[in-house]
Amino acid sequence: MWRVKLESDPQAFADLMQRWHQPIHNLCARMVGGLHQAEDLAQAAFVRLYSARLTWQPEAKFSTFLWRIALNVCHDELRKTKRLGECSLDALEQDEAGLAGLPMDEPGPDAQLEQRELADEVRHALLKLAPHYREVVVLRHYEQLKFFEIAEVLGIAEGTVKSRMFEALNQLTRLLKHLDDRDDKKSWNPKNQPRELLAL
Amino acid sequence: MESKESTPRAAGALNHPDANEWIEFLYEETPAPRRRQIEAHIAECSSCASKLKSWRETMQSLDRYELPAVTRPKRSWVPAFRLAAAAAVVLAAGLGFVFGKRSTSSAEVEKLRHSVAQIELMLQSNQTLNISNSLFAATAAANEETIRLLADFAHSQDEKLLADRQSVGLVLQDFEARLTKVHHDLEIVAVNTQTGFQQTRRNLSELVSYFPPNAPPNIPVGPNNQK
Repeated sequence: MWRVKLESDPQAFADLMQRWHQPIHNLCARMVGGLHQAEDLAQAAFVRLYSARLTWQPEAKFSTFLWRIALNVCHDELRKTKRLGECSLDALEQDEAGLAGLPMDEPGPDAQLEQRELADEVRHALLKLAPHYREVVVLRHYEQLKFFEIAEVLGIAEGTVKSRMFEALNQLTRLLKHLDDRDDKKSWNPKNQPRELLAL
Repeated sequence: MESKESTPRAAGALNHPDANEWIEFLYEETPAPRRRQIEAHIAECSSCASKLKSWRETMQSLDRYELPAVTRPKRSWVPAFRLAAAAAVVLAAGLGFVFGKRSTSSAEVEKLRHSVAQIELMLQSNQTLNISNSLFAATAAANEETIRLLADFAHSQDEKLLADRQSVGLVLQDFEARLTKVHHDLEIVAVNTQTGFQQTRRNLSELVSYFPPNAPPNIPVGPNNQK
């Protein structure tokens, strides 16, 4: 990063993008819910990173700096979506086909379909969380950051991060309870979904 | 938040872990001694064990939301080759059909097949060559454009530098002229001042040596001495 900062080295920046594109893309995808939108946001995050390269302090951890930028980009997008009155879930439908790009070495079409449906349920549940809960879940559960690292990224106390994670996990448990019931019964019917929970 | 009093405590059991402890435990960030205590507590407290089971099920559900690897689409020239080859085959087949009506000997058919294969090879090699040439031309054009832009930039910088030097030279010349004029003016003032001093000295000398015709020498003429 110091080469990017001090020398504006394009090759160094390309290396950074190569290393970080997938994690940042995944973060954006789980924050906003759409793969295509996530691609745009990841690009925007790297543009913002390049613009902000002079503000990076070498003693600070680069990953913290980048996560923070990417989250800010996601929050800006979520605010914009909310301000324009768009339903974020609508934008997601177009990307449902994107989930079809999951690994194709599954046992069979039925299993793949079920896998996609489950993934979609989880995605919708995540999107129902408030953004400040969602970001903690994404960073801890999916990006495997430690709680103290998340605290650094978000600029809040580690205890607050844990409280948010605990609350988010409880909300998700309520939202996804029907999935566990389905697994238990192995005879799930969409009409039996607890709609009052989905409406939370 | 987790309530510590939500379930009756078994005799000898630990306090129920609080929210932060639970979340540390679930994500394996609990220090080993405390972790053993919590595990012992779970073994005794069915309520906590049940909650833990439901949280773990939720975490397993979260694991199901995977994302596909990001792949960047690469430009491929293969379709162009295939299209060209297909076009060559169709053309050759058409020719074969036309000529085939006139002659159906196997030697001619074999010859036509050979021609088709040659045409295919030629098309492929030509297209490869064309692509290579286009890439080379594009690269050369880009290089030329870069060099031209650099030359323009250098030229503009040189012009700017020259203009700056000229303006600085003009300012220096003006400053030098003003300095010369000031020097000249100062010389005039000095000469005038010197002339003035000399004149004043002469006047004072004349005044000191002046005696009125009827007054005695060395008696100054004043209002008290006048009658």
